Amino acid sequence: MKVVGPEEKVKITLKVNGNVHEVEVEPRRLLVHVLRDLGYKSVRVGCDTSHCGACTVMLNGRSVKSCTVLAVEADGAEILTLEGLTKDGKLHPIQEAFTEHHALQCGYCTSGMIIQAYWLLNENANPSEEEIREGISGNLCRCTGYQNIVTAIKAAAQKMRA
Amino acid sequence: MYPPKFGYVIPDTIDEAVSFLKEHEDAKPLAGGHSLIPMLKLRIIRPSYLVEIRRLKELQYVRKEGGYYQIGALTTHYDVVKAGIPLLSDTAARIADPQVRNVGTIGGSVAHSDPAADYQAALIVMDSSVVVYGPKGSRTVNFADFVKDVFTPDLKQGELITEIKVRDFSGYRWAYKKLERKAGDFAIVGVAVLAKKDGDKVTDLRIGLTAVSNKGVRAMEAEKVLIDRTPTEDLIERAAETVMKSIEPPSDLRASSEYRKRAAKVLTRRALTELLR
Amino acid sequence: MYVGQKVRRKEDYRILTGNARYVDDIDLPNQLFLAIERSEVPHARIKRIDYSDALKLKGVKGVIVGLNLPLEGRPRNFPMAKDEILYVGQPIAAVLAEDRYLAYDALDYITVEYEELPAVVDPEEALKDEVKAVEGRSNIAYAQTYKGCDPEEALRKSDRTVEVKLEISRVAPSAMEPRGGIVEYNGNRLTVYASTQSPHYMRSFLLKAFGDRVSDIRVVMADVGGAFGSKLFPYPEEFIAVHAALTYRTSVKWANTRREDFLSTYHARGQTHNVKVGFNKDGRVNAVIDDLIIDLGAGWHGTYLADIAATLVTGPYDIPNALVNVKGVLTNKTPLDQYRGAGRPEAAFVYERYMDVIADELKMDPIEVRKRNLIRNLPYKNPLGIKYDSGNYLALLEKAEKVYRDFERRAEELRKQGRRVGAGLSFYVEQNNFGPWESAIVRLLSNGRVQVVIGAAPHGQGTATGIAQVVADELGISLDDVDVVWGDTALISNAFGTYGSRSLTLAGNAAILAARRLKENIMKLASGFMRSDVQELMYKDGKVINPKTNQVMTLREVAEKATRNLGGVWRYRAEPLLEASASFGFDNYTFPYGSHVALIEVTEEGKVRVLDYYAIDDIGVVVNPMLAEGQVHGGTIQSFGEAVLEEVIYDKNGVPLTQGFAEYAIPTAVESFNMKWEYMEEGKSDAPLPAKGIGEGATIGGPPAIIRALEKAVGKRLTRLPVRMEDLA
Repeated sequence: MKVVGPEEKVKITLKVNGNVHEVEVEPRRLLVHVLRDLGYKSVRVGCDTSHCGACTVMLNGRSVKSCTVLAVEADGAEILTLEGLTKDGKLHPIQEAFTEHHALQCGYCTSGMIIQAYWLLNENANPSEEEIREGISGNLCRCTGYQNIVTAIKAAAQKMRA
Repeated sequence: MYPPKFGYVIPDTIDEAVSFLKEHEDAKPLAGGHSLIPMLKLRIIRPSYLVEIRRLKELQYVRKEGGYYQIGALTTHYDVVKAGIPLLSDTAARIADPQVRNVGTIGGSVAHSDPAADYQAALIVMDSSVVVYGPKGSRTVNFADFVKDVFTPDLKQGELITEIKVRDFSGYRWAYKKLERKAGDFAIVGVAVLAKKDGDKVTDLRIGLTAVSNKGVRAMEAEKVLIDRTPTEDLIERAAETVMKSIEPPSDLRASSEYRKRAAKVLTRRALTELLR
Repeated sequence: MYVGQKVRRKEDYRILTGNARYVDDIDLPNQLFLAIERSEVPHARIKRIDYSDALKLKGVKGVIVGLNLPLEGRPRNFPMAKDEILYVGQPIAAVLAEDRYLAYDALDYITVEYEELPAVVDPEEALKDEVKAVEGRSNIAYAQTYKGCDPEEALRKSDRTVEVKLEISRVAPSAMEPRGGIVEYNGNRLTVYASTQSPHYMRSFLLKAFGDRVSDIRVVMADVGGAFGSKLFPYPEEFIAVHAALTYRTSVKWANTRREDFLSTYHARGQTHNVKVGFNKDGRVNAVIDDLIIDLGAGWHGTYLADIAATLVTGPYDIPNALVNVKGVLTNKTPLDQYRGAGRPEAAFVYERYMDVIADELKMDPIEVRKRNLIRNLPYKNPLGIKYDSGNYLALLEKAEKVYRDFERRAEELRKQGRRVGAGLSFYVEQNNFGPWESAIVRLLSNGRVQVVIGAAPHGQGTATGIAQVVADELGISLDDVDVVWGDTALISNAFGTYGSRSLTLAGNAAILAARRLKENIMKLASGFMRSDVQELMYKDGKVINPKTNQVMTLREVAEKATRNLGGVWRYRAEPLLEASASFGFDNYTFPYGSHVALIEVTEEGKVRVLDYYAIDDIGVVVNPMLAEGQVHGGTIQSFGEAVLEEVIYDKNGVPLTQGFAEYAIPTAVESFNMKWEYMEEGKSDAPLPAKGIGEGATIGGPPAIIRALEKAVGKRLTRLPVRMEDLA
């Protein structure tokens, strides 16, 4: 059994986009803040009540809201952020679809939205419009009205199935 | 937004978890964290330690045995959905949003005892029970008795929920109807219905509601209106009306008491019509 | 030709690859984190602020209290409450610490002793001026009358009159990025990285307050995660952060939590209209008399929103008599300011509601009533003195009417099945391109690329792409060779920013004029290089050509020739000027117009489902239809939120109940719906780029169309935004 006191820090290992990071964190430190401190700025904070989804990352194969996960809980986990989706400067089909269909405006929700779409298309390679809307119901966008985001995800799904 | 300081414990066995929790009266168990961590961020609780139990793999399972489902407390809502459990899976699918369902657990939800939690409507009608493990060993409590009041489960310091048991309602028809302002919001009212027909008669009917009281309620008077009867439009209307009259829901920012009652009637009627006619 | 085409945004690649940099993504060496202690009570007299325990915490560097700086229209005690607290969320103290968690920990150790005072929350109560929102002064902070012709007489002479009270609740703009900033300390200069819609305005506000302590302040706009009007004027936090940086001589960063944003980012709308309309049996409206109350909150910088709403109260209709009595009242709530539409949505809600009410009273078709009153000849001066510039209102209304009739037919069919379905149409006139002017610089860089610096400050609209299209067309070059940059007071000297749907038009026209000046310069240079007379040369597709000698020089060649050698002398007569600047302003606002049509179902329990939605606008030339459409999508869903979901709620004691996204319901993808947008390009201006701006149109046309459709679906008159599900059940 491991016990870390309230004034102590604990060493954790996070594998983010293939990079291994060893950090020392207070137990209370949220995963979103630790990821951002490590330089993964695409993981964003948009609220304090786990609603907006701007902090969404892939953690051990599931999309999670990293603002509602303690960094210590993620010790040993494999994490994917938006930065990890681009390979050698080439855009992933979801990223490509987002620019083709004007699915981003201010961009603040975009990283979380794309990671959630990534998870969604992994679960369901051919989602209906209703399934897409339900699938991103945990990601708030104030700029686009969602219509182009849904179109982009549908287009990306089609491209990925080909 | 920023949790206050707390210590962190990673137990290797459930006994280590339980004994640490018993010894430290301000320590709290951490499962999925999707009720606990938001409270920490609001600083409305200040535990001395969090005891992380999510790595106890022995609490993650879904088994079917002797006409019952046994669901490990650390089973995520996502996994409850995938398990295809009559009524319960469809109810779990309406909790919050996909990311929350990926992490939140049924044990955590039941231990939290939120009066508007979706599970409360289903569990109250599924002959369910909660298995609790503590320093003195295991005990099993009926779900109806387990939730005592808002955010008040029958859990003493040092005890953990290890399993939720629900009856297997294969052969029944079911529906969970949730009224929310928008996707992911807490229910204004949630109605869970299990129904069995033999020919054109209703042989069993169970109606559970959430967000209308300090915990999930079962509308037994309404059920009696239709059991052993042929479900006509009039009887369904009467049953729905009985549901409405049997609840005294709270008023809050999301809805007035009066609206909750009307909505409960509409959702009940809709569920009964879908399932019985 | 790029103008008119659906070109992908140049802004996207950075954002998509995770390289966007909003203020909280920027970290500076030795920065301290600033956390603000905010009031938990709406109205009180401060007796004592004790922060000695906070100072004892490890990592806490200092606490600031009592900072007061003069700024017009702001709550008393700006930016910090020193003796009187006026609203929940008002800053009282600020902590500087090494890390954000420590800073917020320190807030737990600050105690504020106060004596609570009665709070006034309801604007109609505030109007009675009995309980004072601010001690020692009247609650009526603003009073104005707008009158045209003789409305009282015209009302008396009308066949019929109708009176209706319309309530528009407060809303929270809710940009996805909460406000924040970082002040970089450089000795006697500061650089402020801001989440703002106007770096230049922020600079001038900050210099007014701190000009005696610094030689200059440079403001750099970071990437901004949405604003919608809420990030235009500087807030208390900006002033506190600059003061902290200067006092502690180090860089200071602050980042609002979402809860703080709900308490401190200015709320919007908050108007009540008691409107009386006089009309004849044939549906012709003679007069409008409106008593307007605007709920200003604890400060009065939002009064102009009532002015805009008041002076547009007759909308796109030829109503010769109007009277609006405006009262702005102070309440113990967060101050009020602009949000997408800024006064025009409120006006449109008023005139579209009374048009529908009149149609219902006369049992006339609502489109027919509108046609009978619609302005037919433009330009047109309304009775409150606003001059609408150009347009063909009837042509657009008729296009929208076709869709409305179709929606009505479908509604009728569905109603036969027992479903509650209704169709609604709105027609609105917009007033935008709030200037007074904007500037641009067009530069030919030494490698032949063209850089455009604009004074506007876009933050998601895609304006940079739009302006790149415009400049690429003007210079006849590839879009890929044009870069548009903005948002830095060091890049361009005097400018205004992005607000009021003005950036593409004003900055775009300035860019065209600057590009033309640059072209002139380039021709003069090329004539020297090509040893020809300027008159002999022509410019085409990015090249300078001498048609007689067939000599050609590309822009790149001109630039290289002018800049390639280090040393030497300049023997040419032409000035080697490879950049030109220009400014552009209109002598009036511009007035695009449009129509929204909605087909909506309401379930038995009051849940709203949009079955179909259509909008059409005339904004003059549409530079990029895909980007323009994006603005309409976003604005329409915000309209939906405003109509049925969103409401800032205070309890009767002045405590805000909506403190986050749990309570304040903005639409998710599930509530959102698909819509179709079309456009007409008749209402042009006479500017080189005759575009008029679409940013806010959809929040103006949306709510009245939605409310009308709901009204028809449930069969009862609706007069409030938002309408709650229980009122539709």
